[in-house]
Amino acid sequence: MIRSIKIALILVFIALLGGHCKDRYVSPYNPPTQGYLVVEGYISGNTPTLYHLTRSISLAGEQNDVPPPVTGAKLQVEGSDNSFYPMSDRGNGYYGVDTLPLRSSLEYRLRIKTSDGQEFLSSYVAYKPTPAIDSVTWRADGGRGIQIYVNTHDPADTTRYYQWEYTETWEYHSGVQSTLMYVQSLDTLLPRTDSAQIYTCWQSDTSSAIYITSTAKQSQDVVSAFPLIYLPPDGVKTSVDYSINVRQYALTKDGYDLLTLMQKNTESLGTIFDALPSQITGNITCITNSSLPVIGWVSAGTVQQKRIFVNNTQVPSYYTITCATDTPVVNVKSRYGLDFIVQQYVPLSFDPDSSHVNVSAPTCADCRTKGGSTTKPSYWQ
Amino acid sequence: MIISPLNRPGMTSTSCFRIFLCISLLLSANSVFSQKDKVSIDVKNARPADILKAIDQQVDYRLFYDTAELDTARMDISASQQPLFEFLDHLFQGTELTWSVDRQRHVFIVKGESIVTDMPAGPAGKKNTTYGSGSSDSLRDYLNEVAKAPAATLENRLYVIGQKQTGNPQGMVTVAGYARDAKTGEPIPGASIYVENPRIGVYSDQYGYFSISLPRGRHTLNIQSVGMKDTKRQLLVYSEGKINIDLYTQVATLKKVFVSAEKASNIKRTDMGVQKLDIKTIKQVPVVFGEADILRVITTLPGVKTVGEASTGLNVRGGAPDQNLILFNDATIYNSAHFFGLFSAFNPEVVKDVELYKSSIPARFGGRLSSVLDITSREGNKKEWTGSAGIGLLTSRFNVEGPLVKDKTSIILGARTTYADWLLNELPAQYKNSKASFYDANLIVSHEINKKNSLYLTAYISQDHFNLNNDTTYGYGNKNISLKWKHIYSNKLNSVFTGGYDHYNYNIYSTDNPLTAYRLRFDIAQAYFRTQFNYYLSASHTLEFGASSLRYKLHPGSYDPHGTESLIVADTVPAEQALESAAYLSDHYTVNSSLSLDGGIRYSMYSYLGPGTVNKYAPGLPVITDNLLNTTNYKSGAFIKTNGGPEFRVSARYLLTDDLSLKAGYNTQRQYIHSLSNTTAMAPTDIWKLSDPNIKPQYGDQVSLGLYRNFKNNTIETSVEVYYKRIEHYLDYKSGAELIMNHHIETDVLETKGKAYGVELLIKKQTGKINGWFSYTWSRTMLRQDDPNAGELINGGKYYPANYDIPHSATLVGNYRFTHRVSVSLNATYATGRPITLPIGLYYYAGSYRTLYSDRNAYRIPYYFRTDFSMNVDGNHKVHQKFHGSWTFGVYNITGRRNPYSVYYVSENGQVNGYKLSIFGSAIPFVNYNIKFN
Repeated sequence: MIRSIKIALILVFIALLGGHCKDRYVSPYNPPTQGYLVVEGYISGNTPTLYHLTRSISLAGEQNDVPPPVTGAKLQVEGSDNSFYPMSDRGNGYYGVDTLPLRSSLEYRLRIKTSDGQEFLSSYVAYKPTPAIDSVTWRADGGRGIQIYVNTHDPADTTRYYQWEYTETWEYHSGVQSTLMYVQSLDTLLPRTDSAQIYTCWQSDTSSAIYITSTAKQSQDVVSAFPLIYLPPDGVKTSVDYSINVRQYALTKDGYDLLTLMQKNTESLGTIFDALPSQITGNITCITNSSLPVIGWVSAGTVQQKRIFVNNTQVPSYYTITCATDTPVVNVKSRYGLDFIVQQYVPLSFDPDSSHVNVSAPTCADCRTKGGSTTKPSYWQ
Repeated sequence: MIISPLNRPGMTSTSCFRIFLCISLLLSANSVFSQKDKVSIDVKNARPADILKAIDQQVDYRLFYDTAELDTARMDISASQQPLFEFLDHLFQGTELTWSVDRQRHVFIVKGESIVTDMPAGPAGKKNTTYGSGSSDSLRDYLNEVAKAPAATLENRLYVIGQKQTGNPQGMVTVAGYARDAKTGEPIPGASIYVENPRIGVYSDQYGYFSISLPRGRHTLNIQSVGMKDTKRQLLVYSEGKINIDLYTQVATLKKVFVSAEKASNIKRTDMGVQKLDIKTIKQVPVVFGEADILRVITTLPGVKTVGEASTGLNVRGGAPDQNLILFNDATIYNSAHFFGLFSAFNPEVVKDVELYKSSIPARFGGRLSSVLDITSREGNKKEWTGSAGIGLLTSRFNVEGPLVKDKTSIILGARTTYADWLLNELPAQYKNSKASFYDANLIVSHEINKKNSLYLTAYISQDHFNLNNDTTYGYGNKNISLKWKHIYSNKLNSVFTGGYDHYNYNIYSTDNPLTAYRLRFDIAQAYFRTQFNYYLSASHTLEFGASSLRYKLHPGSYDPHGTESLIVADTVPAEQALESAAYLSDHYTVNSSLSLDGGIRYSMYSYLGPGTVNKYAPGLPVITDNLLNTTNYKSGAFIKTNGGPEFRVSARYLLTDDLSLKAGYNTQRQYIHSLSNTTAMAPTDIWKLSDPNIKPQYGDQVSLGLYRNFKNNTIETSVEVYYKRIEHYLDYKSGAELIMNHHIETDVLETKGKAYGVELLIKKQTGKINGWFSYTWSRTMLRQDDPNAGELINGGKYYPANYDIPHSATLVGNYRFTHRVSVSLNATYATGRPITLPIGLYYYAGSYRTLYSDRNAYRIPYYFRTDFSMNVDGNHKVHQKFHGSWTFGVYNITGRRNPYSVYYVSENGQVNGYKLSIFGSAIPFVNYNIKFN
C-alpha cells in the first residue's frame, strides 16, 4: 500500500517536472526577410584579421551551413592616426588582411562599403592586448563525461572582459577495418594502401555558443576554470583522441555587454523566469541610411591560443565504435560478387580458404561516412 | 414568549395568545363601563410588570401584556385616583408601549402600534369603534409578525437599551455591539444589521463591530450574514447602549434558499469593483495539488489576470503585479508565492476571507496603483480547543486554535511545510540534485481586555529554498508582525491603532567554484504605525479618518565572497530609506434610500531620506552615465526629496429598484515603491526600488461605472463594470537592462505612460445545490514611451501592449452538492495568449544562427484553456464525534492541454529552434486528506 502510494506520488511529480514540457513551436507569423548586414570578425594585431559579412534571413528561412554571404564589398581598418589598411576579398563573404601593424596607443575602426552603395562605419575601439591563456584543463564529472575549462589571468588586472572561441578536432575509427580496396583501373581488389585508408578519420567543429565572462567584480583579474564544452560519456569525440584549440580575446566593456545581451536573447531562454528578449545595437552604423540596422561588434586586440589533447585512455569512460558482426561474404571470383562490392560494399579481408571476401556496409567500414576526413591535421600528435 | 394575563398564568405560547385574542374579539358584546377604573399607586424603582400587577388588582379591567416586552427598565411612579387610561398614558410615555382596550374590558399592552381591538369592517360596512387607545395612529400587523417567529427566546426577548428617560421620546440614538459566531466566539464581518421601518442599515466591520443609529423606541433589529442563520432582536431603545449578537452557522441546506434583500450587498454597497470571498468558497475551487489557494481563486474573478501557472503575480485591471497591495492582517506581504509560484503564501486554514478592491479603494489604503487585496485571518475559537490537519501530495499543514482565556483570549497557530525533496531524489538523474522546499507559519492572538478594548497580534513567517540541479541556490522569505488595538470611545466613535514590522529578503549563493563563490542578498524592511477612527455621525453620515506613517529601509543588493578562497570583491549598493505618511478622511453619506455617496480624500507625503548619494544628470539629455553631471552625498536623516499630493476616492450608488443599482466611481492613487523585473512572471530575484530624485513615483487614476442587478430573490447576482485607467511613470526597461547590483538603476529604466480599459461581467449564484460564478473580462493595457530624450524609444514611441495585456478571459466556477457529504466542483478558464516579442529574423554570429528581435510585444502566444475537477467527500456529520475527516480528489487540467506558458527561440548547436513551454504537460490528479478535531 505504502509503496503504491509512493509510486503514485512519483508519477504525479514527474507529470509536474518531467511533463513540464517543451514542444516544437512554429510561428504562425512570418515577418518579411530583412536582409540586414551582419559583420563578424576581430581586428587582430598578432594573427591574420578576417571578417565575414553575411545577411540576416527570415525566421522561417533555411538555416544552411553557410549563411547568405555579402560579396563584392570593400573593407578597411582605419587607425585614429589616419592610417588605413584595406582588406582583400577572400570570397564567400570573407575579407581579410594577414598582418596589421597596430599600436596599442591608437584606436581603430572598420569601414565597409557594400556593392549596393551603402557605407557602414564602426565607432573607434581601443586596441586591447589579450593576456596569454594559462591553461586549458578538463575534469570528469559525476556523469562520467568530461568538461573542458579555460584558465587565464592578467597580472595588470586590466583585461576584465574575456571571450573564447574554440575549434575541436577528434580522431575516430570506423567500426571495422578494411584491408582491401577496389581499384577501378584494374577492376580488381588489391591490398589497401596507407594513403587510401578509411579506418582513421579526423573531424573538426567550431564553437557555436557565446563564451564570455567578466572578472570586474573580483579583486584580481583571474579566470579560474571557466567552463567551455562538455563532452558526454561514450561520445565519438573521446573515442580515440580529442584535441581542442581555444582562442582567447580581450573585450571592452561595451563589447562584453553586447555579447551578454546576445547570449541572453538567444541562448539563455526557456526557463520560467526568462528575461524578456530585446533589441541589440552594435557599434556599427550605416552612414548612408542611419535607420538601417547592422548587427555586429568590432573589437581590436590580439588573439591568444592554446591547444590540448585528451587521449581515450585518460577519460573515465569511452567506447569503441563497433558494427554488426554478421559481415556478408561474397565470392569475388564471380562478376556478380565484384559488382556487389563496387556498388555498395566495402571489402574487408580475403579469406584464402574459400576465396571469399568479407564485406561491410560503408557506414561501418568507411569513417568518412560520419563526416570526417582521412587527412591527418598538421598539428596532430 | 410569555403572555401573562394575570389570572391565567401559564399561557405561554404565541398561538395561545392569538387564540385567546380571537375568542375575546369574537365574543365581544356591548360593554358596560365599570365604576372601578381609577388607580392609586406610589412605588419607587419598580418594574413595569410589578406596577401593572399592582394596578390590575385595583380595576375591573383585565390587563394583557408580554412580560418580555416590558423587561427590566425600572421607574418611579405615583398616582392617586387617576383614571386608568390616563395612568397608562403616563406610564408608557417615552416608550414604545401602547395600549388598547376592547369591549370586554381587556386591556392589551403591546409594543409598537396598538392592537385593533375591534373586528375588521364587516360586510355591512359598519364602522367599528375603538374604545380607547394610547395611540391613534394606523395599525401594523406586528402580532402576526411575532407569530411567524419561532419560539427562540433570544429572538423574542425584548432587549432594553439604555435607561428610560422621561421627556422627549424623539431623536436618534446609537446602538453598537459585536456580531459573533455563537459557536466559536469569532467575529462576523460584513453582517447586515438593519431595521425595516424606518429603513436603516449598517454592516459590521472586520472585527464584527457595528454601530447603528436608531430613533428612540421599539425596533426589530434584523441581522443577516451569508452562511449564517438569519436572526433578529427585539429592541426597546431609550438611549445609547450595547447589544452583542450571536449568530449560528447555517447548516448547508439543499433546498432552495431565500436570500433576502439585505444580503444583496452587491446592489446596496456604495463601493464598486469590490469582490469578497470567504474561505469556504475558496476551498471549493479545485486547484493543482488540491491545496486551497487564495491567489489562484482570486484570478477567477473578473478583471484579475495572471501571466501563467507558475506565477501568483496578479494583474488587476491592467496593472502590474507590483501595483497590488497584499495585506495579511495589515502586514504587507512582498512575495506571495511559494515553490515557483505554484502555491500562494497564505495558509487556507487560518484565513477567514479575502477582499479585493480593484476600483473603489477605501481612503485608508494607499501606496499601490491598481488594487488592494485584504486578507483577514480568523480570530480563533474563543470557546474550545479545536484543530485540523491536512495531508496533500507535496504539502501538509497543521492548525490548532482555542481559548487561552475562555471568551477573552484566543490563539491560532497554523503551519505548513512541503516535503518535495525526497520526491525530487526519486526522479531521473537530470533532476536528481534539485531541491525545493518551503514552510510558513502563522500565529494569531486576539484578546479582549474589556468591552471597550481589544488587542490583536499577528505574526507570519515564510521561507522558500530551491535549487534546480545547478550550483546556485535561491532562498527568500517574509517575516511580518503586527499589533492592533481597537478601542471604543462610545457607540459613535471607535478607533484602531496598528503598529507593525514587515520584512522580505532573498539571497542567492553559489559555491561550486571556490574562486567565484558568492552570495547575493537583498532585503526590504518597513515599520509602520496607523490610526483609524470611525465616527458614526448620524444615520446618514459615517466618517472614517486617520493617519499613517511607514518607514522603508531597503538594501538593494550586496554581493559578497562566499568562503575564504573567493576572489569576489564585496560590493554593496547603498541602503535606501524613505518615509511615507498619509492622512485621510472619508464620509459615507446616505442621501436617501436610493442614493448614497462615498467621498474620501487621502493626502500622502513621501520623503526619500539620507544617508544617500544622488546622481544628477544633464537635463534634457538621456539618463546615461555619460551625461552624469555630479553626485551629491546626503547625511543620515536628510530629506533628499519630498513628493506628495492628494488622492481622491469618490463613488456613488443609485438604487433604481430594489434589485437594480447603478454605481460610478473615480479614484486616484500614488505609488512610491517599484519592483524591478524584466521577466514576465514575478521572479524570486525581483528587487524593489524606492522612488528617488531620478525615479518618479507612479501615479494613476481610474474612472469606472457599473450596473448591478439581482434575480430570483437575490440568489443570482449580476454586474457589469466598465473602467478607464491612466498610469504615469510606470517603469519599463531599456534593452539589456541590468537590474541586479546596479548602482545607477535610473540609467537602465524607462518611464512609460499607460492606459488600461475594459469591461467586466460577473454572474454569481452563492447559494443552493448549484452555485458558483461566471466571469468574463475584455480589457486592454497599453504602454508608451515616446520621450526621445529618455535614451531609447520603445516601438518607435507608439503604444505597445504590456506583457500582461490579455484581451479576453472567461472563467466558470461551479459547485454541485449531491448530498450534505458529497459535492463536486468544476473550474474552467479561457484566456487570450499574452503578448510576446517574437524574432523577426535570423542572423549568423559566433558560430550559430541567432534570433533578431525588434518591436516589443508585437505577437501573442497561443490561447490558454484549462478545466479542473474536484470532488469533496466529508466524513459523517455527527456533532459529538472527536474527529471529522474529509477527502478531496481531483484532476487539474483534466483535458491535459499543454497550455503555453511561453514561446521562445533558442540557438542550439548552431541552429535556432522554436519551442513552446508548458508548465503542466498533462492532467494532474491530486488527493488530499483533512482531519478536524476538537
